[in-house]
Amino acid sequence: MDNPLGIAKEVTDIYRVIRLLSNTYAEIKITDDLLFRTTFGANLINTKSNYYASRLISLGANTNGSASVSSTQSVDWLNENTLTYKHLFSEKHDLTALLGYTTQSSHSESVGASAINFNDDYALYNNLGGGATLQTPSSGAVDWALISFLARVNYSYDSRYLLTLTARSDGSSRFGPNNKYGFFPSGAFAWRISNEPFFHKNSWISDAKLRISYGLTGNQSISDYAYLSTIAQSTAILGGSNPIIRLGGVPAIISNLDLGWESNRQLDVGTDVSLLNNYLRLTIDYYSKITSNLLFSVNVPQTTGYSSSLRNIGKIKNSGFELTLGTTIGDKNKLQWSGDFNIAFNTNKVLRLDGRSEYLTGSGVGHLQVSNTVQLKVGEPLGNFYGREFDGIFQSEEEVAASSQPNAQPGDIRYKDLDGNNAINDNDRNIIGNGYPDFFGGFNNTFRYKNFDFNIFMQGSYGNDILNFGRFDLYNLNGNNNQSVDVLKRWTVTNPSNEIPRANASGGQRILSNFQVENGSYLRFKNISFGYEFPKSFISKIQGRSIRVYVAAQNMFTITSYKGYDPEVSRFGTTSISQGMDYGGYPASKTILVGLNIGL
Amino acid sequence: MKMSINHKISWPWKKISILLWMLCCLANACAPDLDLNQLGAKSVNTYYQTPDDANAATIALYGQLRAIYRDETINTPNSVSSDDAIPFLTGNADRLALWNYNLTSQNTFVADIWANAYTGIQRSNVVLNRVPKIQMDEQLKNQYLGEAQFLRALHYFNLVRFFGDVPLVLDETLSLENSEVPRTSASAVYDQIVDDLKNASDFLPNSYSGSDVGRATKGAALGLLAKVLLTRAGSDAASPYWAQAANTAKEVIDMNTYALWDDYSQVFELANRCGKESLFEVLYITDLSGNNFTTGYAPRGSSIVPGTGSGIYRVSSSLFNSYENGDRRKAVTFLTSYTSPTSGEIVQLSVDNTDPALAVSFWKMADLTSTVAGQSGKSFPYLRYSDILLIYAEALNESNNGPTAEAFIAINKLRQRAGLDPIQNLNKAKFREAIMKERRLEFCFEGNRWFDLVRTGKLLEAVKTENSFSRNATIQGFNRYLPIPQREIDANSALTQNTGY
Repeated sequence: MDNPLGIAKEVTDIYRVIRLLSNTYAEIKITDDLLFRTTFGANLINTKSNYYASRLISLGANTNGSASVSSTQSVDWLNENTLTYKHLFSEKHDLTALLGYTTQSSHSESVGASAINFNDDYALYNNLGGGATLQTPSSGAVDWALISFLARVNYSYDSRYLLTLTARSDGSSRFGPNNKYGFFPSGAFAWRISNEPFFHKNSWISDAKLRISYGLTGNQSISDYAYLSTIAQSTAILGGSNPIIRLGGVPAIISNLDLGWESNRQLDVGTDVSLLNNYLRLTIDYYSKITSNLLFSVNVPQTTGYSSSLRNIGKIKNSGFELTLGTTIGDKNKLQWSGDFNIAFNTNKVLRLDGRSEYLTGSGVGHLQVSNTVQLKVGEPLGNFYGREFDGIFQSEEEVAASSQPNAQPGDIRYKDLDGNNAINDNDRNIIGNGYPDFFGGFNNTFRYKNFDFNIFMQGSYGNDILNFGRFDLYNLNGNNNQSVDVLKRWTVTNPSNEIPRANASGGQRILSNFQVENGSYLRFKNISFGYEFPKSFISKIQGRSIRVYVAAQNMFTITSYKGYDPEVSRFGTTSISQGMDYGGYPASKTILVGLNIGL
Repeated sequence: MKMSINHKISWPWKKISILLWMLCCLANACAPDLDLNQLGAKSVNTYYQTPDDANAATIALYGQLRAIYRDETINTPNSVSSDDAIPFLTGNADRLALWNYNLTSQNTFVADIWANAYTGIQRSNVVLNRVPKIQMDEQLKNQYLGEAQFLRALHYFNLVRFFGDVPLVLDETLSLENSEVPRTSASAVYDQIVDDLKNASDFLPNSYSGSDVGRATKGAALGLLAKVLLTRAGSDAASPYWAQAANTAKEVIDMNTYALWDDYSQVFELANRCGKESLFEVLYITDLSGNNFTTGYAPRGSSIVPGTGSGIYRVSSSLFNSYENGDRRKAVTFLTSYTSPTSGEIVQLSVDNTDPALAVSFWKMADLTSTVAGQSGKSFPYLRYSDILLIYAEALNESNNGPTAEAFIAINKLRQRAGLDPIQNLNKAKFREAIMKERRLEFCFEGNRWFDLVRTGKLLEAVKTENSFSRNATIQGFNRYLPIPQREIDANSALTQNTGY
């Protein structure tokens, strides 16, 4: 890992976006009830990236500075045509029916160039020609299109019963010729109990609604052309003592003409209740979502000539409860408290894979190359980390001799011999953590007293583990990089630690075990702010509408036992398979804001 | 009746018809095509039609070879897992594991050997499947097929030596059906290698011109076949492969195409690439598309190379001290001192000093004209005529129960070039020893040593003897094969692990 301060100071990385949105529409009122509407929207996006790593940090030092510029230009357009019929029958039957045809398409072009070997760091990225070595330029173009047919009926009776039925068929260019279209029907029903005649208007329940919905949705968030094996270039050199570059062509991936939509079948049951004249607001939801034909890049045997292939595999179930509770108590002139609390419990389970009962996935991380870190297994939850079980530290030669690790030395990590065959190898792997929390939630509090307001927003997650890849570097003591202060407590002959292994000049092997897994639970004070609103009497004098001064602190405190930079950060983003992995991810910044809002 | 209906069309219906007309126009104008082609590249469906496509598909085979031999894939296990080199002791733990035999199925070097070889094999299989269907000159077509067979054999030869039984994939992968291929016995893999090389030697030309120089030739296929047969004979004195290896080597010698350079240093010169001693080599271009043989192996931190030296591994004292006095190869092979560009002082290097900045380094493939780190241009000498001579001598010794006159002539050609006295009057065992030593000194750093130790059954002894820098290798008999990569076993339920891992 590079020095974070060095990255902050010696890398110039600027990304600019210019975006132009336009939207036009035409409506034709065919009858009083029948409306045709067509819209045409275009979205023009220009981006430019400028990058320079100076010779003072390792990112640029090996190449005497490294500069690159790149730019993309894309045009997205969307055409929506809908025919809507809306009529109120007998004053109680409110019917809306809609037919639609929408098309969407995108064309994007990119170009990039870079150079290394600069005489000095002066020009940054502003003069690529100043680099003695110019890198191969790159350019590319990508097309994408979506066609949708949809039909929807909204029916409401007396504002008590609300029914929505939708059917849509979507075709995406991203999928193989055999499965471009997906069909996604859904239905929702709501019952506003508080509008029933039997419901007493002055009851302690001021509003009550029951909701139920069931339907299918599709997911196409994969890259373009992912089903098709295109020809990639391979650089060869031929020509004897006067060699030149000769370009060859190879299939880039295994074609998958059956690649199609991932679909989610979701049931939602919920209720919204307001009590005591809206003093207390309560929302409870239960959901159960089954994701089928998961779009997933499967590790394939290398003997195919390829390492992975994008497939529709398996079935996953997510279900859980969400609870939101809100209240406002008191009067602003004395003391008023508004509280909003939400909590969500989710469980998930793999129902089916691609015929196999289990397999491993997870790509290597940078130079660590620790792969296959995640086990997917039928009947088990997602997000299971898979590795060996840490069983303390060898304290003596005798312990080593009596163990299944004859190559170990006192001070090395001892692993559990899970299969009991007196040898430690990859058959001794087990589930050593899970990246998903048992529950997570937030609590937002606002106190108001006269012209003062005070806000505290807390957010937390409980029960999730983080696979902290940084520990492979921070505890290796090989003399090449900065270390965790924990290594001061490492095993030595005089300090028989059972937690931190000995210093090992060769850094030891990168074997994943619970040693790299940490508790990722946290409670974070996302926002604490204090404000003062100037009194109306003062504002009217200066002919304004409102003036508010405030001071706010963001991400100020975090209660966690996690030792990486930030428990909220996950290196691999939000893919459902690789939750809770961190490799020195850039932490959320602590911010103190002093602000002045003036309304004129 | 129809007319009357027309007359009765009311106002809203007229609107609707205008609307429908508009809708149709829009639909026609805006309906995008969902069958989009990649704009920057052809796909497998549109490729493999022309002679140019066939040529490009074949050239891609050399692209994979360039990638394999530019780094450590084959060379590092041959150097550090044998007795020739000691890895940078605080470097990559997986490289260290190759050295002290703390080998696991998660070792990334092992995974790279496997993955790189099968990527190359797949490229050959693509050529062998697609090119026969292309309308083109038959002779050229046969040459491409011969090249594909030669390179497929080259990759399988690496695999079978490193792993033993391996999955034998001979068809292009078009889908994932039947992709979980079990291991095939090493002897069946060898049969396939021999078949491929025999076919290739029938198809391939003796030489090329211009920018095609460096492609596989008939001599390369025959030479590799001789080496394969020699390896297949193992340490079995009664093996029929000894005689076959001798005959095949003789066939190469009798082509009268190849000869030794007068001086050992000429072998590695940039100007002599694909020269008279080279049966097959992997080419690079200085600063543009090079290898890591210069910066990678210079003394660690030394500024005599672009970037600074990485000292990936250093020369073992047992190798360094094996050279007889006067052996001219020693000075070409190693860097033993250098003048510091900053201080002007002469820095003396040693095989014993623990400081990797002061380690004697492999230098015969260092390209001192390169200015970019990791982009040096000397070739990887895959198969040289000197190898053919030693294969011939060794195979004659084994198949004739002792060295023949021709065997002595062959080995003494190399000794003479090295400035050494000829050897004579040796019995079978002594001659075998002389061959092994000659191979070690002649070919160190050329990806041969570990293979040679394994095939002659000398690996354990050699590894235990070279014990400098507290190596204490926990080597056992089963270590003659590497572990099958765990990633592969995880992805393919038909695979079994090698014994011991």
